[in-house]
Amino acid sequence: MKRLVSSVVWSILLAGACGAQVNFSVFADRTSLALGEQFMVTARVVSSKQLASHPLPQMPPSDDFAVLRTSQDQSSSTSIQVINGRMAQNVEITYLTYYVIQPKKEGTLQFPSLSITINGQTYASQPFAVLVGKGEVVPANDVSVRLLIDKKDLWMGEQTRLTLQIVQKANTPVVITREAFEIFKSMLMQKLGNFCAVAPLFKDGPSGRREQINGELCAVFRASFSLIPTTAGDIAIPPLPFEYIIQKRVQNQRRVDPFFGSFFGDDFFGPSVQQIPKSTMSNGLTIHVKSLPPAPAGFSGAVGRCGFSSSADPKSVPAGEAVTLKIEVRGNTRPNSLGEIKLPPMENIEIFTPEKHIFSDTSEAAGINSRKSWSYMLIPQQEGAAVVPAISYVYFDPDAGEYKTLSSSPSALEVTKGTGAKPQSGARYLTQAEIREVGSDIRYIKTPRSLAVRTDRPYRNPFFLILYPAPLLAVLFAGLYRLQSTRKKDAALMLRQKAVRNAYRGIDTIRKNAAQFSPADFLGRCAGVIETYITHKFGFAAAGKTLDEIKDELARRTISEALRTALTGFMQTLDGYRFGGATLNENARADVLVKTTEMVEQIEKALRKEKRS
Amino acid sequence: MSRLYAVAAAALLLLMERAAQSAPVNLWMEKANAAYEQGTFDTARVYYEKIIAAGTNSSDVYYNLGNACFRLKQIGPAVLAYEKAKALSPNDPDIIANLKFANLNTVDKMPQPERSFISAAAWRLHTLVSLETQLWVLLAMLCLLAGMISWAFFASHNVRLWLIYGSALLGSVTALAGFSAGAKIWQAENIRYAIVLAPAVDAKSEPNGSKVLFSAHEGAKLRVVKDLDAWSFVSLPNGSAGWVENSALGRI
Repeated sequence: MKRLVSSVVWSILLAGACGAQVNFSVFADRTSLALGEQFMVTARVVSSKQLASHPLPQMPPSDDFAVLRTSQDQSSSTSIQVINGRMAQNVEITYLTYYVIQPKKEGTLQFPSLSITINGQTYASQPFAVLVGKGEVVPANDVSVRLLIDKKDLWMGEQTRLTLQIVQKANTPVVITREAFEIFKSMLMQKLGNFCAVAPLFKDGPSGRREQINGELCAVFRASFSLIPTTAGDIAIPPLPFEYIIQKRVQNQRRVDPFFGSFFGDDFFGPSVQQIPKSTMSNGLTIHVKSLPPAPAGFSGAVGRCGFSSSADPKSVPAGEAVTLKIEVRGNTRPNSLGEIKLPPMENIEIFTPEKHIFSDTSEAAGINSRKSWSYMLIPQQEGAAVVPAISYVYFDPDAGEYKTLSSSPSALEVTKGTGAKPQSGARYLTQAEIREVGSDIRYIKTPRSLAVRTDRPYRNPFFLILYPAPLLAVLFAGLYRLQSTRKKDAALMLRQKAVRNAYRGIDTIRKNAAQFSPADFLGRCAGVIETYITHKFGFAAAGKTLDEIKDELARRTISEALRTALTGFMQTLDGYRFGGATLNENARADVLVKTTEMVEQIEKALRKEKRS
Repeated sequence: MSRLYAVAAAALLLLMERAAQSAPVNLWMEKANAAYEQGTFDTARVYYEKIIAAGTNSSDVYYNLGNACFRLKQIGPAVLAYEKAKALSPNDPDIIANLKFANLNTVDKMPQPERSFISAAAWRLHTLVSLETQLWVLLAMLCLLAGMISWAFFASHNVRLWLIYGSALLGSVTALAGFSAGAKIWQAENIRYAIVLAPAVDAKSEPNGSKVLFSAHEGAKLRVVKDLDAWSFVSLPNGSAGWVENSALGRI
């Protein structure tokens, strides 16, 4: 049977005698090669305990294969887990045995079963097929490039392995550069990209080793790719060029100078190396891809060799508490191709959104292997018996060429009486949405150091009753104050504006009635006009103030010194005549009135001038 | 039997406390919490109720009382205590969570009215803070507004303009906050609720009547529309209304 990857057969049994868990597997690095080539078979024994000696699997004599050499290796790993405060230590010791095998003839050969006995228990691998072709393995020239595919007849979605093999004769002056490999790889992936999902199976580049091919020592470089066809039909990979360099030692052929010739023209600097680019063509390949037959209901989309397991734990649980249902699907394909699991409806069991884990392992020997696991939390709602029904997984098996269904057996759960909810029949436990919203239990009590007393009617608090009117009162007070001051300001302004007019009016009144006034009264009225004018104009009461005080007040209002002196001098003159018993005739009275008017005009003029400046 | 002893012991302790005339509510709170931690929920409940009877109106005490009642599987009193706690501290997340949880254990599921986005946002703003906090904030805003208006009376022209704009903005926010506070006060004064404490109660067409209009179960929240002697006229969010006996209800 042809396999795209090395055939891996697991025989997992428990070694009851000593309690050690043993795992035995056999795999080959490739199963498609040409006659004269070698391949490596690895036998791996993984034990949970140290074995007495390194186990050496027995290979029966074979007419098809020759064992060129064997070697052994051993490694161990320890992992420690702490779960709920308990520490668990897990030890694994791996014993590896390598066989370098060379096929003796062409054709599809069956690699025999290997067996081993550990602690009285015998483990055996299953035989697997190796395809041995003819082909020009040893390059006729210096380098040969071949594309090898494990399986040419594929189903859509089936994984196979494509290997790029570069063989170079040993001890030839050939240089294969990383750049040349990358160019070839990109050309190859470009050709396949429209028809297949292509993924390199190597990390850093092609792996190289020296091999005896048909008795000739060669350097062999291999790089493998995972190929999963996405469309049906024939996929043709044409021959692709591969560039390499041949280094040739050449003697300097420069023109010899007659003077320096004896020095630079000799072989002191040695011969130089000339790099000659060359290319060789790979072989062409055609892959035939078949469409999948009509899919049955529930087909997951997975194509390959798949495995499936499920388990529910614990089997007995109080109502309202969780049971964990673990489902795992594995297969030799990409993770996305494994599809999804759809749980059947379960009566009286709340199913929560599962935790999903995806693992993918890529190796040159086994290609892409994926594992997808779902961990569902199930909460039985009612006590009694509950059943987790059988879960099915449908996939396409390319080896059998048909759809297969893997099913788990139904799990019976014993649901006991719950502790956190109503005991009567039909009691409802929390739903998924409700648990998300409020958690699974009430929150714990509050433990304040001192109790904060509160009221549900805080608006009845006397503080509020007192404080709430305060802002309104403040605004009212401010408004009233503002109104009052505005009014005052307006009255003063009016008087100031009317000061001159009032002064002139007062002078006119005195003039009209001058004959009726005694001289003292006349002079007193003239002085009164001036004082009233000053009072209105400058906003201070001039009556009752001494002349010096009036002078000071005017000085504070930036009235010039000359004007202040003139005004107080005039008022002093009036007072002098008034209290000196002077007699005034009509002309003198008219003169006093003119001077009074002039004084008012002078002050007005001075104020206007000051305002302008 | 052990429960009976626990209650008797708690009652004795309370009598001793009363004799001492100390009324130390904080000490009672500590004892109640210790009893709760030990799982003697009966004792804890007696202490919590004593603190409340002493006139201590604390949301923490009501919350803890709700927890004790819930642990005693007395859903009606638990919901009532949580509702009272929520009335005092409407935004306490613990109270809200436990009230929701307790309501999940009630038989009657009262559908909440569906709100539009704007309505939900407005409701969220309305219930963002407790009434007490809102009143203090409102007072501060009023003081600030009064200060700005008063300043505007005496400020120069440019400053006055800014003060007027600021006052208008602040006044709008203050008005909204005041409207919200007013609505809350109106609600507190006019809308009353009660929790059904009996396992089930029949709402009748008239006090002492025989015709049953609907039944409500323990923990259901009913709106009390009016009272008449030992009867209350209650309504449900779906519009159903009827008379129930006061003895089956606990007023929030």
